[in-house]
Amino acid sequence: MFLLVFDTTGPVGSAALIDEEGRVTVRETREPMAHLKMLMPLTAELLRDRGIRPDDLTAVSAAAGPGSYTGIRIGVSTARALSQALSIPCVKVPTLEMFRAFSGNGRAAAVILNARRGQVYGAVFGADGETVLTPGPWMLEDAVNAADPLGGCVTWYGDGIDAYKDSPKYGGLLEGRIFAPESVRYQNAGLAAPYALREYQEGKTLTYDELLPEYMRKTEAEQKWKDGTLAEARKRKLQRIMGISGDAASDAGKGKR
Amino acid sequence: MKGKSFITLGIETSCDETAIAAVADGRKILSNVISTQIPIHTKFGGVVPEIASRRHLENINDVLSEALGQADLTLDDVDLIGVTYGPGLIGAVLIGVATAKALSFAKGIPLVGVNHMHGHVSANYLVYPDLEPPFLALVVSGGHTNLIDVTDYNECTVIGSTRDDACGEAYDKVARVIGLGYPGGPKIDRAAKEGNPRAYEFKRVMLEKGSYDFSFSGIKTQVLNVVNQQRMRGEEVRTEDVCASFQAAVVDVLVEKAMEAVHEFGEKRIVMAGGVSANFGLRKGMEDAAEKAGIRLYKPKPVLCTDNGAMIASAAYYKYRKHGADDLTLDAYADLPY
Repeated sequence: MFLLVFDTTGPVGSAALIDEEGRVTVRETREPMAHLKMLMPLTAELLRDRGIRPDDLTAVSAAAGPGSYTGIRIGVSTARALSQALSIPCVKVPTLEMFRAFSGNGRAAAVILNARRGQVYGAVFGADGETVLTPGPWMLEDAVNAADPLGGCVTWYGDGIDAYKDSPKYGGLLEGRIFAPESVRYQNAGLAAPYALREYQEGKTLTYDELLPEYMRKTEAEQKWKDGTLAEARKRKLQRIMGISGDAASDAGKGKR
Repeated sequence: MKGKSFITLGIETSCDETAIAAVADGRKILSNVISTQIPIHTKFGGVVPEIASRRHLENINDVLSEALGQADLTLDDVDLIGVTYGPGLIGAVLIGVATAKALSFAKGIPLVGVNHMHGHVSANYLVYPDLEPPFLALVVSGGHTNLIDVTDYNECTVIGSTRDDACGEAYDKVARVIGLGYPGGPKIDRAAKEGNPRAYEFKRVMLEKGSYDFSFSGIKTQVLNVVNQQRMRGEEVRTEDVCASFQAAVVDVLVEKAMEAVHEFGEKRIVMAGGVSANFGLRKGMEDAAEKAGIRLYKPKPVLCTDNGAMIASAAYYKYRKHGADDLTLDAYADLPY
């Protein structure tokens, strides 16, 4: 039994292979913007080193987000196509959930993935592995407030550390925290693999159609549509196109209705 | 292989169509499935790249199943996978590339990255079995307006380009301003049929003598000014007349430049390609001019002018024959020269 696992949701793009005994081998790239380029070559290497072929794979898994939208899509669409071509099931790994492995036995883990402007995709897992802050889109401050009552046993993970620790506006929130060393700070397929194996063994598999990203946010355009601010935004765009004054553009807008 | 045919799968996701086709021997369409996102983007007034990327991911596997099913094929029959690797919306392009690479790896099928614009030119090979390079082509789409000298399959020299807006872009912007909305090209084309092309005298910007370049930003601004002035004077603006006059001006420029190039290069034929080639006014203008000049005009059926997988499969077939396969490091590019 071989389970292939991808994680392309963060700064490290990686593929892992895990067998039924939980033995994991990993290949990764830290080259920025190379997730699409390298994911299949890394996978090919991984299989070659274990002496197996694509046909030998039992299931394929991908970290489904949150994280970089583009990154999420690279891993998920690759996994979906492999699943379809090889007629094997998929397993979904929620990105934040894999960090739970760092909690328990008296250690707590706080995860913050950068979502810009003081926002994070975050979660806090307590000293017994329990959920303290539910995985979701939060403000950095929410994650800090959730982690603070746990005292000094909390280690922080995720690229939100790099994004905010030296920021004049948000850096103060992270002052004096314990950051995981960079070698284990980010989500990666090696960390996702045991979670994926557990899910597979518990029968929690999906078809390729069911393996969908967890963006955790609507697109900006859809959000504006929902807020009712889309018409305003479109009017501004019309002004930009024509390079004209607001009055002329709103006249044109009126003509529309 | 299916029978004695070499089967190429073409995958296209560079903008708002998720499209996959199966083509035999680079020329014969076995299936051509296009899942359009136009209704999804209409309320936003144009293609929203993030939404397009999300939809491609959700659609592509079903489009693949349908393309194989309609052609009565399985992946085991496929000899080659061609995929658009640029130019286009990067988030959209990479869904096709990631999918194509995974299929290639899983089944050991050779993979070829196709330049989307070469794909548009190749649409003609699917319609005209006798057409082979070299020839001149007028390529007009949402992002491109070019006169190109096609020297071989997937090889060409650009002899003219737009210096500002692409032709399709000008259509979209004018459509937005006169309230027709997205997608601008087909809507203006339809309205133009009901209008008077001489109602307004819009600029025909030919640029300096001997240049095959284009400029469409001036006419776009002129259309807006005319429309606004009329509205301010309380006069009724007849959309159909604006469309007909705008289209007539654009078509005049495209046709004249294309014919100049034909004469200059001593060609006996000209090929049309790209989404705007589906435009009725442009097709008619080119037909009339070609007949008058006694040259042969090649134009894909409208469904093959818009983005589709079959044109990508055809281009991939010829690229593979000449250059062999790409390896699994194939990447996606927003910008890709001809």
